[in-house]
Parts: sequence; C-alpha cells; structure tokens
Amino acid sequence: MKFKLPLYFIVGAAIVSAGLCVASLPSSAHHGTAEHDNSKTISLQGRVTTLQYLNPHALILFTVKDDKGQTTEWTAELQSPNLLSRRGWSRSTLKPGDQIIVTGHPVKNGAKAMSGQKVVFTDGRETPNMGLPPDSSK
Amino acid sequence: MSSRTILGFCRGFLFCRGLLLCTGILFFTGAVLAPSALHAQASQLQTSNPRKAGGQTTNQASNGDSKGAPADFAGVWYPSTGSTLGAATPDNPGQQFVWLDSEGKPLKGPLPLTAWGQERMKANRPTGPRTTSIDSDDPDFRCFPSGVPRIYLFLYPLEIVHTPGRVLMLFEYGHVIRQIFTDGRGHVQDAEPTWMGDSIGHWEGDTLIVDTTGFNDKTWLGYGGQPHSDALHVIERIHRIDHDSLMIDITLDDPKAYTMPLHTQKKYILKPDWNIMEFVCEDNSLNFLEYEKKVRIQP
Repeated sequence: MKFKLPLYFIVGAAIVSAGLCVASLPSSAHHGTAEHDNSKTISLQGRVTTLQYLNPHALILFTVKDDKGQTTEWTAELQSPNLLSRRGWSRSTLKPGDQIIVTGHPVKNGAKAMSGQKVVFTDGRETPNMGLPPDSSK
Repeated sequence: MSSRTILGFCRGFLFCRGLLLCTGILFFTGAVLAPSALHAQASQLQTSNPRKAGGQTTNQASNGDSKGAPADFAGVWYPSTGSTLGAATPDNPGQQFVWLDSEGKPLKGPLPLTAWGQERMKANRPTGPRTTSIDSDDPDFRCFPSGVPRIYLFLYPLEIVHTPGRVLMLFEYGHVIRQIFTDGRGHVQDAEPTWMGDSIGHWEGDTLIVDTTGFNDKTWLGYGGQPHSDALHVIERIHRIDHDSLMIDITLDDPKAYTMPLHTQKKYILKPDWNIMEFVCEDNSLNFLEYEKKVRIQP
C-alpha cells in the first residue's frame, strides 16, 4: 500500500541537496549513512509519541495523519543525546503530544523512517540546532 | 510511561551511579593513593610483565611528571571535522583519516595494502551503499573498543589527564580509557594483544611522543574496513599548535598489512566548558538496533 501524504504536509521529495535550506549533518560517526537517501528531503507534520533520548542516537517517534484521517507511526533518527545536549537539547525538548514538523532524509527501503535534520513546532517555536559544535570545522 | 522507558531510566540510573562511583574511586586513587598504588603496580609489573631491556623500571612512576611535564594538555578536546577528517572516496570508503604521503601531501589512490591486507579488506563488511550497520561486521557495532587511531574518528570529545607517570586519555565514545606511561618503562613483553595497545610516552620539548604496540588485529583503521595486523606499530606526536588546538601527528607502520608506513594527522579543539559525558555502547540494544532493523537494506 502506498502511503499518501496529506496536503498540509510540506513534502519535498527528490530535491537536490543544493536547493535545500537544511544542510545535511556530517555523519554522526556511529554508523554509515547507507540507509538514508541524502538526495531527498521530506518534511512531515506529526504528533510526538515519545522522544527516546538514548545513545547512540535519539529517536523521535511521532504519528502522521493523512488526509483520510489514517495515522501512521514514523521514526526520526537524530544525533546522539550527548551531542544534542551540548547544543541545548534535553529529554524534555519534545513532549508527548507536541505538534512538530520534522525535516530530514527518508530511508531507502520505504520504511516510515528518516534522519531528522531539523525539528520545529507548528506554533513557530524552534528546537535548538542539532548540528555538531559550531566551531568543529576549525 | 512504558516499560521500555522505565527500563531505560533504571539502566541509566544504574550507569550514572556506577559512573559516579568509578569517578570517585579514580579521583581518590589519583589524588591520594597514586604514589603508593603506582609503586605497588610497578612491583607487580616487574614480576609479571617484564619490560624490554632498556626500559626503566616502573618504580619511577612514583616520581611523577605532571608537574615536570614540559606541556600540559589537560582538558576536554573535541575532534575537528575540518581538514583532518577525510570523506569517503571510491578507493577508501567510509569517513576516515586523510592519509598523507612521505611529503605530507594527501595520498592518492587506494591504501598500499599487502596481499594479506587486501584479503582482510575484501573480507570485511563495512557499511556502504547496500550494507547497513545491522549487516556490517564492523567491530564498532559490537561495542568493541575502536583501537588506535580509529578512536580519533568518532565525533566525541576526549579528556586528557596528567597523572604521575602517566597521561590518560578518557574517550567519551565507548568510555574507553587509554593509559600512556611516561615513567620511562618499555613495552610489555609477550603480553596478550589488546584492543587499544600498550602505550608508552616521552617528551621531546613540548611534544609528547607516544609509541604503541601490542594490538590485536580485530579493529579497523576507518569506517571502510581498512584492516591492520597485530604487527601494527603506532607513533604519535602530540603537540599544541596554539592554545586551543591540539595536533596529533600519526605514523603507522604495519608491514604485514601495508607496503609502506602511513601518515595522518588529527586535530582537536579545546572545549574548556565541557565535561565528558556518559556514552554506553550497550545502550544500542534499547532503541538503535530496532531502528536499524526497520531501515535495513536487504543485500
């Protein structure tokens, strides 16, 4: 069954990375990037089920509702909690029920999963940057 | 709160408690008992782990060098993602070091593997376009220590601690502790090979020279499955290039795996406001491996 994305989702698929406002993060250095298609970026609006703030990668579990009202569980893989914490994240940055928009790269195998590159709340609030320390490329 | 969350919380609490306990013991040992403990350790090493001729006895550990060391690298350092972090290439897959030739220029083409090295590299299954971590035999995914120099590739900080007779590297990633003995001893002889090797160091001016042997052959040099053998000999020259930057010049000599010595560098950036945090690889099983199963690419 092909998943149909609702109209109010911001969906950008098959967009070259040069055209994106969200730059790909360097590899988290824990595992490869084989599973994610970095040539594509999608943005999904959903409701947070839980934020699993565990090493080596934090995971956002969130539900996405399509235009028929059907909900699907998605997972967004983030950097490690250690790296996130140093940018201002904590285990309570996202709470169950929060309405968020997650932007990132989908996985290649069609599973409802993505690498999370940016997370914002639907009310306009932003979460801290998820990148490596800003001076890390010195 | 789900049972998994509760389990994770409990495990985290136990780990934190254990970490605090270990930290306390380490501090107490270092601050109060170091001289006597090291002396006792030295005596034991003299009988159970004889050192090579020429190496001084470990009794000198109690002399200490934290005050006498010509440079102080103490602090938390973050690995630079700049010029000393190499990107994957067709010849050298996986995030890796920037390998240099004898003139200091980036090495072109594949690494100079021996026939043995080629066989090992061919047999390894690193992550790649069709191999996710769940199907890789990368020892990192099984929570083994990363070895030297690969431990420098992980984008997590390390803390350097000077103690009498030793310089310690406390790696956040995997909570690996590396001891570099600077008390004049030689390498352990006939020791069981280890993941992080046997490191001894001495000062040349304000540069710490670290000589490491005694590795097993189970770790890789990078994410691409670049192998090494148990003949690996690593020499590092660690020095500050400015107050906030530490450079580690690395030479690897492994005639069993490579036809010529390899050179590379790794730069670290001082993070005066940081502390080392907990990172327990076994936490993989709590969520990461489930995610990896979900996104697995069928070979």
